[in-house]
Amino acid sequence: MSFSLNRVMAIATNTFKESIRNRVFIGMMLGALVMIFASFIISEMVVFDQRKRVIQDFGLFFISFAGVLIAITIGVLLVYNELKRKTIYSLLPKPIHRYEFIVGRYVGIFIILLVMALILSGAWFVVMLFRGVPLQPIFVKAVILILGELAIVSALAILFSSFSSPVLSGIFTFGIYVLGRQVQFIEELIHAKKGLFVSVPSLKPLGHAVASVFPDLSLFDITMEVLLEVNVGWGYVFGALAYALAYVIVFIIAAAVIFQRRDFV
Amino acid sequence: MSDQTILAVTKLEKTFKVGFQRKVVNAVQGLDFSVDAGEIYGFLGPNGAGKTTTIKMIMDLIRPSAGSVKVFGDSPGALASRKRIGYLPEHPYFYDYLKPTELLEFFGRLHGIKKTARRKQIHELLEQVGLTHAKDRTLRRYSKGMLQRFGLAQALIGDPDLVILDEPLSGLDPIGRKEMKDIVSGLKAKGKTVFFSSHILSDIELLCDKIAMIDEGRLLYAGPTRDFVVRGQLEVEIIASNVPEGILTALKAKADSIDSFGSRQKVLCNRDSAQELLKLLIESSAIVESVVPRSETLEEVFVRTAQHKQAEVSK
Repeated sequence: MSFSLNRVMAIATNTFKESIRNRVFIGMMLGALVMIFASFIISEMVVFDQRKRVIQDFGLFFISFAGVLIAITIGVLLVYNELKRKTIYSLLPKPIHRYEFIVGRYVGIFIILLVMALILSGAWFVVMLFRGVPLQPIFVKAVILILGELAIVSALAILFSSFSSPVLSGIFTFGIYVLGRQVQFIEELIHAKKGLFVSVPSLKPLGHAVASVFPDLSLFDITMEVLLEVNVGWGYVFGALAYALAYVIVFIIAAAVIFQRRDFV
Repeated sequence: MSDQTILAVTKLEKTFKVGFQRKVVNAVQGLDFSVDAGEIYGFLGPNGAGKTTTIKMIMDLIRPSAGSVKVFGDSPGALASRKRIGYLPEHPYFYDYLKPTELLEFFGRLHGIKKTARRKQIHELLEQVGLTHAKDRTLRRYSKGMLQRFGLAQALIGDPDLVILDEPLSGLDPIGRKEMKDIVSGLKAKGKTVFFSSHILSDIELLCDKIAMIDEGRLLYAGPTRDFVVRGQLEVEIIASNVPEGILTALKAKADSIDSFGSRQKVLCNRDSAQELLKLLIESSAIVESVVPRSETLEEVFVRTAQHKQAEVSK
């Protein structure tokens, strides 16, 4: 029997049910919601022409920040919790492929992130409307690109959790997230005539490796474009999503291969 | 192995490397046994004997280091064979934030059962394991015995042909044990095959057609339960009264022991000499009150067999 979408969706639904009960998810969501609404009050403290920018900046930052924390915490704990709570022993013997478990878990996390993005961006749009900022397509594009970034981060979290402890998985995933945000900066440093790689040339191969292997997550951050009201085309958005999809496929296949070989003692 | 064989374990081995020094532990060593359709097959051994490791290899949760497992002629990882197996893990744990109906719904979907049939089956299964009254509680609120019963219900979803139960009777009270045994017998009556592990020998003796007995990962015995119990029949106990003095002297010469309780004598002898002693008593004026073949309990046979095997290995 080959891949079954029905089985994957059954696992995804169960993951969703499990995650919405997760205190981390609820805490992060509420925290981000409070900060987005608080941006309205904070914006009162700045000069008039900066108020719009404060709300836009706060909104995008907290949607992304809460999303990354949720993606990492839920992603690294999903496989670990299955083992710790021994639920894996009743699930894997069911007629499912192990890779369907990984894909189902991933889809479930992504649905959670989608729900989070919908709620938080809804709150963000409301705050902007109250501040008199008309809704523009670039706001939606910014949220879609954040989801693209979260898709990569959650796939990475699942990859690490397929063979490592939650703490290490969290550290690795967050580390790659931070470096991924700096890929363009690292590339600039590599080609610069002065700076880190000129003063310490032995680090240059490492810089090359990070720039060529790690996902360039800065592609998914268009906060500056939003603040400066520079248009970002749909072509760019779809290109970035295709880039995200390629990384997600590689990470999920790697996670499935590792998971396939594991013994559940 | 016959045409009826649905589970075949051949030269199965599992080695783990444990600890910082990667010490090698042979959890299962060269197991060979097979289970035929329609049998209740007991898998017996003390705690730590390798029963759960073997069952996990049958369920594809652990991969063998050597040897093979075939279920319905296929590898244990094949979905076609997995669809026909129900499994209750040892000390089962489930997603405790779900209600039993929700979890059975989830597992039913994984089995590919259509919605209407799924609902009907869930209702029947909860009734079969006596949990209908608690179907609206989340599993977090279930007692250990209730979880064990639910574990059986989830193992039976999809109407499997082979049901594998790892220590199904552990943690159950006497009534729960009786009910679980009845369900296992009921499965056999429906033509299902049941393979279950236990370290409680009396359960196995009563329920199982065949047994495989392991200790320290090695097979001690595999075959009919009856034959194994017969191995343990050592003596015959004869109770007789009014035994004439002359006959008593003759009995003492041939019996293993004779104890007197007033006018009654308890004679213990081996099975070969029992006929002769009985003839002596019947032909005299003695009254033979009872003749009971005294078997070792399965437990005694197990301990003796395990010690014998251990002595063989250490040689």
